[in-house]
Formats: sequence, structure tokens, C-alpha cells
Amino acid sequence: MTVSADDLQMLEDTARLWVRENAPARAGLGRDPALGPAQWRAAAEMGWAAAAVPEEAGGAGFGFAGLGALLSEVGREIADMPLLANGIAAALVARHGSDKARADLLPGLLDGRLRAALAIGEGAHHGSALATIARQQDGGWVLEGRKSWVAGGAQADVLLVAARGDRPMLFLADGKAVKAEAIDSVDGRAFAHVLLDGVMVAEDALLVGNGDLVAHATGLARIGLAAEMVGAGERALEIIVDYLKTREQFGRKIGSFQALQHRAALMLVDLELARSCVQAALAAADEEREDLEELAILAKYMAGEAIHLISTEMVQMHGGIGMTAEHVAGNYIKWARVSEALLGGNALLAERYATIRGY
Amino acid sequence: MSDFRAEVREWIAANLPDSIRTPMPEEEIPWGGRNASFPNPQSRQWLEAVIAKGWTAPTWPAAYGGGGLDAAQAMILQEELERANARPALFSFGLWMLGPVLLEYGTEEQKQRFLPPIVRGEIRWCQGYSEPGAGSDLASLRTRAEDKGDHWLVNGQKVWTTYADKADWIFALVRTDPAAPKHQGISFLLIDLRTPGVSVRPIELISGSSPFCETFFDDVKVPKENMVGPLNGGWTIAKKLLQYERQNVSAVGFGGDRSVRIEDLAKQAAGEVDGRIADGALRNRIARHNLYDRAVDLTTRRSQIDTDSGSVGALTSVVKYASAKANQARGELAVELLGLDGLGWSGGNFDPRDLAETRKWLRSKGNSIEGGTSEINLNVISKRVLGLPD
Repeated sequence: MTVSADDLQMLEDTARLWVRENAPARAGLGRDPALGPAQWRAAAEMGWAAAAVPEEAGGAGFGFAGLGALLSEVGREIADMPLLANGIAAALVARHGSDKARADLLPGLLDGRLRAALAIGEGAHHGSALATIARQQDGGWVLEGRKSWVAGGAQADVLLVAARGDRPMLFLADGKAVKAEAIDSVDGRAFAHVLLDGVMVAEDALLVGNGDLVAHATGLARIGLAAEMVGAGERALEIIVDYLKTREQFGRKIGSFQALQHRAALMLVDLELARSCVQAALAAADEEREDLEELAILAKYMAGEAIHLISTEMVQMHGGIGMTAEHVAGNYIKWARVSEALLGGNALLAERYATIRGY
Repeated sequence: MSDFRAEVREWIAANLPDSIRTPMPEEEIPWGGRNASFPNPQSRQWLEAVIAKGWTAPTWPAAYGGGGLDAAQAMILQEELERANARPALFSFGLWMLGPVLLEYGTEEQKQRFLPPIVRGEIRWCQGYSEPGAGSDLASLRTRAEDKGDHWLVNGQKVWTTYADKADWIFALVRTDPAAPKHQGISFLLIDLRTPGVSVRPIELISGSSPFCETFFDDVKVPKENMVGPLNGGWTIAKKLLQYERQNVSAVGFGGDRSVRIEDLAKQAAGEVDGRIADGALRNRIARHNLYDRAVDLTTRRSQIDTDSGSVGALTSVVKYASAKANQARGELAVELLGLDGLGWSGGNFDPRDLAETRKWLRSKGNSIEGGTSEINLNVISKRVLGLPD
């Protein structure tokens, strides 16, 4: 499934306007004013959550390339909305869900009536160990475990839960069946710890496919997150460059100093490297390639490198104003660090990459 | 699978010799030219097969010997060649640098005369840009070309002319109007290196190799029809060609031999546990290096797709900067991993493979200088891409 460059551009342009209008990055401390249900439905009605689902399954047929483009636009404004979770959950249910799951859940995931959350990571580092257990019982499954830092976990109607049975498995769980404990995170996004205390799910809540679906879902989530991170880095760099072009000291624009010019250029280098990786990973997702996990690691790793540098420089290059709660630099650096840590930080990703590559 | 992909795959299976699927040692790089050498005869066989399809220059028009492919097809061809681990059939500054600007700025006669021998690897080109007094400030070049009615008379000196000692022709920037502002008095001239008055002297580098030369022009007569583009309009062409150069030195990894994997050197240095590098901290550094390196490769490919669809631009300086950084990081890692074994110069006390790593490390120091220094590329990014003020 591929989408033309023109279609992709149109999708991006529309999304950029909409996100800027409806969910702009705002300076300030505390909780991000989470997107209201009405606004989220409006975004979903434009087909955003359906982007990666093929048309024959009721989706928009833009592929992961399309979903990635939209996520980058959301990331530009570091907007807190469940597009990543809904977009990926919809694609996974369409492809790997039971008949019942597709009938009951897919329409709501596609049009946004049902909010999804990806309950994959565990612990402080979202490492690769999977401690959540799935036990067979009475023709269904019982899930036991604790997921950490689940984006939208307390608002979710449907959770995609990674658990270990005789192999890593992926289940759909009802939001009302889990205990979600909201977290006050540094970046103000709506995260929650999700406790699965003997949650019963039916056999048809299990997603079925070839290979390790947990690794697959983790890969898709990393790619989606990396797309958001590249968007955030792109916007942050624009804000920095605008400041360098307007701020004057010593009687000249500070952007005319070569010391600052080269540092800005280095940010663009890292950003473009990350963008190439995200594009390659999205293509791997659309082509269902075997190297998806590697490319997902690469995309998230490089996006992490880029956004770490850019968000750090964003504070420094703005000088004192960058340290105040009146400026968005603080919001970007906090959002960046949380995103870097989600689904595995760079040390962990590098280790996993070495494992896959045989060293 | 598309029909074209299937066709390419079938063609590769039928035509790619086994020995051309292995990493290429430097001495087997097929540079073509009047004195082409093929230490591995299968390199010649592969080159001839590729030339027959026009696929040394996949996107050039068939009328000039090219493959006539569109950008999407060229991408598929590239992917399938990589998938088969096929070595490039031809390394050529003609293909990478001169050809694209001839297609854009050359006359019909120039295209017909110069492009087909490039596609077929019959003429090997080198680049006459830098001079002793014109490095990063290239536009201050002083090599003169005087109008003598029926020919140009060229006098001056070029430096860092890569492989001038092995090349057949040179594309050179020459000053045709010394009175004009420096960017406006430069023209782009094609010169046969067999012309009387041309002499070439290789320069010995810190690595002991001599890929670069000094090239001297002493009353060299050049036919009038060898000027590309308008008189005194060479700077535009020069800049365009530099973009192709930056992209391509990166694409071929600065000629660096990738046959030794850095993770294997690390396994030797630190030992293995269950097939893995025993030292976790080292393993992490190696993985981070390889991740960066792979990102550079993907970005290089992305910038080539831009080129195939007709735009060279923002990414070329990014690619040039980052690939130099990656290759230099690799060199430093290799020498560090080998320890003192990586610091020999010659002789039987050292493993030849280790000596090669030492030389590669030293050679890589030029990567951030040749084809535009890293500092110049950062200038280009900050001014032309980010729009920062003077």
C-alpha cells in the first residue's frame, strides 16, 4: 500500500493547520490541556485514526506513511492526543483481530468514538522484559501484571496489552476492566500506570498473526513515536531559528554569529538523519518487511539523538527567557525527555540493535 | 512485486557473476578509462552487461547511452542491486559529477560527444577545481584561459585533482575575465590531459597513498567548443557540480573499504561471550556507531532520490558532513580497537589487515576537507537552508 507524494503533502498541510488551530503548543507548567473529546472526534472524522488501515477494511488507505505524516504534525505542537494509539491499534485489529474484535471495536477505533491505549512497556525503562502474564482459563485468558506510563491509559476505552503466555502475546482489554492510576508527569501529558489484576478476556480478544506480534506492535509504536519526535524537533528548530533571526545583541542579529550558525546547522543534520530513518521505517511497516524491528529501533534512536540535542539547545539559545515557564522551550525539552525514555531509551535501543545484528 | 522489479531481479540473477557479490577490495574498483584495468575479469564482464542496459547511468536518456529510467524505477534498480550485494559496475567522476551538469548545461553536440563514453566507462574524468590559493574560497581561483581566436590558452595550476595521474580528461574552472567580480569571471572548460603543456604530479598524503595530484597548465591550447555553458557563466555550473560531488563522495563512502566490520574488530579486541562482544560498554558504543552510520546511508539514498527526481539541494551538505563524521568515527574506533597493533606503518611484524586499518584511519582525516570542508558545509546549511543572516 503506497500513497502518492502529492496526497501525503496535502494530508500534512491540512493536518498542520488543524493542529495549530486546535492543539497548539502552549507555554506553562502543569497538565497539558488535553484535547477534548469533541476535538478528537473531529480529527478522527477526517480519517486520521484510519490512516494506516486499508480501504477495504474501512480505513483511509494512506498506509503507515500517511499515519507517520500525521503523527509528525501532532508532534510539531507536542499535542496530547491519542492518534498514535488509535492509529496503530486500528491497524493491528484490522490485520490481526478476530471477527468479533473487528466487528465490535474497529469502527469505533476508526472514527474515534473508542479511545485506544498501547499498554506495552513496563518499569522505569520500558525494557524488553515482559513480566505481565497471560494464563488460559475457562476458554479465555487471565492477564496479570502492571504496565507503566501508558499514554492515555486512564481515558482509554480499549487497551492493547502485551503479555507473556507460552509466547509473547497481544490482547485487547476493556478500559473498564483495568485499574488505571493517572501520573503527574513532568511534561503534563496524560499518562497512567495500568494495573491488570486478574483481568479476564475472551479467546477472541487475542490478536493472531505470524511471528512475534508484541515485537511487531512495539516496533510500530516506536516508529509512530519517532515520527512525532521528528515533528517536534522540526518545530523546535524553527522556533530556534526564528529567534536567531530576530534577537539582537552587540548591535547585530545573534544568528549572524558563526558559532551559533554552526550549532544550528548541526541540529538540522541530526534532524534530517532521523527523518530518513523514520521514512525508511514507515516504508518497512507498509511493506510488512522482516527488518521492521531493526528499522524501528534505528528510527527511535536517531529521533532521540536529534530531539535531545535540539531541545537542549532550544533552552540555551533562548538565554534567560528559555528557562522561564512563559516560553515553550521548557515544554519541548520535557516532552522530548519523556519521549526519549518511552518504549526504551537510547542505551537500551542500542543494546537491542546489537543483539539483532548478532554482536 | 512490480513487473519492473521482477524483470530487474531476473536480469541480475542471469548477469551478476559470483565474485561481484562480495565486498570489493580497493584494487578491484573499476574506474574505466583509456587505461582501464580489471584485476578481476568478472568485473569487466559485469560492467559490459550493465553498459548494455545503460544502467551505469540509469536515469540518463537512452539517446546518450543511459537507461532512460524514471526515479521510481531507478530506486527499484538500486534496491535490487543492493539486495543482491552487487558491486557498482563503474566508479566514475564522469557519471557522478560531469554527466549531470552536461545534461543540464551542455549543448546537444557536447552531450552526444561526451556522455556516451562516460556511460561506457571509456573516458575517465578528473576534477580541476581547487588551487593553491583557492580552497574553501574557491571563487578566488586564478588559472587563466585567454581567448586566442580559434582556441583558449590555459595557464595555471590546480591542486587536489583526484586521480589526475590516471584520468584521461579534466573538467576545470578557469578565469576568463580577470577584471570582473570573482564569481562572474569564471568559465567551465573540458580539457584533454594528453594536450601538450599539461603535467601532473601526485601528492603524498599522511596515509602514504597518493590519490590527489597537482596539475599544471603551461600554454595549453583548448578548442573553443570545449566550454560548457556561457562564457563567464561557470560559477553556477561549478556550484551545481559541487552538490553532486558532495553527494557522491558520501555515497561511495569516500572509497573506504567496508569489508571489515567494526563489530568484528570489537569482538577480537574484547573477546566474545555467546557470540557477542564481551564488554557491554564497548558493545553499546559500536551499536551507536553503526546506527549513526546506517542513518547516514539512508540519508544518502534519500538525497539521491531527490537528485533522480530533478532536485539537488538541502540534503547534500547534510550528507557530506555526516558521512565524513561517520567514516572518521569508524577509523578512530578501528585504531582504538587494534591498540598498538593498529599503529604500525609497514613490515612483517604487522598483520596486513591491521596496516590497512591504520592507513584508512589516516586517509579518513581528509573526508572533512575534500569536496568542501565540514565547516563550509555547515555554512551552506546555516545560510542557504536555515536562512540565517550574514
